[in-house]
Amino acid sequence: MEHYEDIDLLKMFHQEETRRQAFNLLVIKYQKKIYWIIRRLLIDHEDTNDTLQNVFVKIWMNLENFEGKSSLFTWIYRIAINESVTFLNKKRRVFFLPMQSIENDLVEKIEDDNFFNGNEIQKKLQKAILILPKKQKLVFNMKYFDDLKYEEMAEILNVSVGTLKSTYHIAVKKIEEYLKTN
Amino acid sequence: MKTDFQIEDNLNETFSELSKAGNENCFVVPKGYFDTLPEKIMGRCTKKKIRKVFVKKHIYKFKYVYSFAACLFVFILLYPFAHNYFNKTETQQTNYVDEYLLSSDGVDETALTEALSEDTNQNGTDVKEDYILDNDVDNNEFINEK
Repeated sequence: MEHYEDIDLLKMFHQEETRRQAFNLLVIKYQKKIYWIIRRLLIDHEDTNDTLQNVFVKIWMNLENFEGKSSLFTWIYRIAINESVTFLNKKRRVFFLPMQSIENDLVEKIEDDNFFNGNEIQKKLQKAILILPKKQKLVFNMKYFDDLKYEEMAEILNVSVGTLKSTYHIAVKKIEEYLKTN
Repeated sequence: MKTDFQIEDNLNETFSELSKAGNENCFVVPKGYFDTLPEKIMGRCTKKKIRKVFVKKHIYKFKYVYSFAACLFVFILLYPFAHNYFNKTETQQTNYVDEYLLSSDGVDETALTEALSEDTNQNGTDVKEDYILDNDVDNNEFINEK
């Protein structure tokens, strides 16, 4: 598949006759990356699928108004994070469940081999990430798995680089502690 | 397992357990999921747009009908309350009159009760019995009647 630059995709999208093609190419380009961003937060595939589709529908409806102040990927990443957090908050409200209860349910899913095919230390890592507070979880995933620079993360989360560095450091310490004691 | 994942240099030595885990994606994804996803998303996006345009046109065309229907609906909702209100007013007026008559100084409730029960004669015997006695009715006729 031919690789398109974001700027080319945006130009194509702004033209009526190539809009659908541009959007299709954009989905193909980013679907896996966005999928994993969401999946690491929501854990469950079906929840991830719903949220991912919502993200792309939002992109379809708002890409026309994208001003280019940030990179396209940053903009998409931000939408994905917002949708994931909204989903998690909604899940808690709809079922009147405390966060702990939702986490326990996700821990059980990680234990399921049909769901997770990593080794024991990787399973423990995912369980450790689950119990982190929301912000630490976000920062840790973005740095550890997505390999984002602190400046990119600062743009997405609208937080200073210094705060991000200390948040990441705290998250790593907690995870290390969990891995040692469990 | 990847070994070239990103952890801050000074953390790498300190957090040995974490360094063993790596940063692979280990969650299972259904086969062929990403092959069909673009089509599904496109379907959702275009369906939403058609529905949005349809709703806008539809509402514009029938806006007067919708306005009239809304007024009618409000009228139907409020009618029972209005009806009850006016009826209650008449009944309340009657009640007020009754209460006035009973509670006004010139009217003695006891006298009223006695006056209403004056179908009895002064001795207190039944009116029907008096009629029978006055009109020479033969009691035996009643006794022997079958």
